[in-house]
Amino acid sequence: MTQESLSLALNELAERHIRDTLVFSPGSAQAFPERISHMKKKRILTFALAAALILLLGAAAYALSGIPRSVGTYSMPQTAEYTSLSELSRVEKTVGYPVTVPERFSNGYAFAGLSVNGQAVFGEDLEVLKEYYGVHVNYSRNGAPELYLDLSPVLDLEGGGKAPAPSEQRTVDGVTVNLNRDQYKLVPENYEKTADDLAREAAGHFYISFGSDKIEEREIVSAAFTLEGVNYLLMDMAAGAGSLETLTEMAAELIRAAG
Amino acid sequence: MTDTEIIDLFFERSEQAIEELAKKHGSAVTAVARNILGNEQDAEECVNDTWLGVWNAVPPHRPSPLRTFVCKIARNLATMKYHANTAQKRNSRYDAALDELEAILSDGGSVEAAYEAKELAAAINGFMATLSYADRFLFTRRYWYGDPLPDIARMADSTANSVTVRLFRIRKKLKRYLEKEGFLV
Repeated sequence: MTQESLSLALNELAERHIRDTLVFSPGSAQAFPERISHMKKKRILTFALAAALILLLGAAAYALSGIPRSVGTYSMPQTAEYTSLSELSRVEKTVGYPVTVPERFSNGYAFAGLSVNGQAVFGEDLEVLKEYYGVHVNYSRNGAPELYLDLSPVLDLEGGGKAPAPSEQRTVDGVTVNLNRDQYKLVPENYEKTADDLAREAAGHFYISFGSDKIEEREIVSAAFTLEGVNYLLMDMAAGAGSLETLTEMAAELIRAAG
Repeated sequence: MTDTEIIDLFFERSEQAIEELAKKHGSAVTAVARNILGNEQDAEECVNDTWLGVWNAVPPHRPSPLRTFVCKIARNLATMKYHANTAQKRNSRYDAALDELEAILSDGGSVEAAYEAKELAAAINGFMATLSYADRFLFTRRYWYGDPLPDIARMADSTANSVTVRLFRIRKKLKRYLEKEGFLV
């Protein structure tokens, strides 16, 4: 078999494969067997993040037709990982917006790592509407699950749909903080949505993530606000009774640090 | 500007159409051309030829999604240039990707010369239908887009090693599939 015949054959690859792989779509992907436990955690984080960013975008996240747009990872040239905050000015230069990332919060959560990722908002035909750099930060505390902070620029998107209301709103120093308590149902790739699933999706704050090896439900809480053209999103993937209060307090510290 | 608005500009035969197309999809088209040709000058020529190709095709076509359409044109032009220039020093990312595929498919069998590329393409499309989404993603990004392994790993939240192992398994599966379909004897 010559390389030319292979190359010409690949030119005829079905358009749907080219379209479906413009970006990695974790919601419909199966886990890599060799890294299944790690991927599971990352995938649900990616999925939850995408859902939360959609909420954060508000009405702009919805096309005029009312169909939600999607947010996902996107190949960008200057992605990087950092283990300390000493190079924050370099991060700001890359992403093009101010990055406020506290070293430590008063409740004991401390900086554990930061990554700069490529992200994009996609239209109904998976065309890229906006591409940008997102900043993802991990915070850890002894004996407690990790918390995540995500930063992204406020995007200028045309939209006309009606975004779902947050679970709760609070005001901190004049800044509105949207609090969400969301249910995530992780299901295998071949799962078919039930009537109950559809009803819960329609009611809001309920998401189905495809690609898990078994069915399980998880509660994720998040606190989101916008300041000086930057969206801040704090997320707790293992929500407990006090999670909402914890995130609100951390959001208040962030607002004071960024203000 | 939306894809529909860009296509409308092509229908109006406005030169702004190419400017807007380049602004919105230029980076994706350049990446495909650069991956395959491995040479900035050739890649730039290929990108310019792609805009001309779109200008000639729209109208009458109204492609959707537009990005897939322009990337396909860019890939066809880039592979034609790649294979036409046999004296060209092999230095593109695409060389490595084609070497990987050729090595596994040539190991222990040869393809029937009578098969045309279109028949092989149909078999590859049939094979793709047997793969999970993650495997389809890896195969397409590596062998169609010609992306380097670290870039694919980053996009798929994985590691370059993991992607390498997974692609090796996919190539072995492809070989078995083509043997079963009678392509490899």
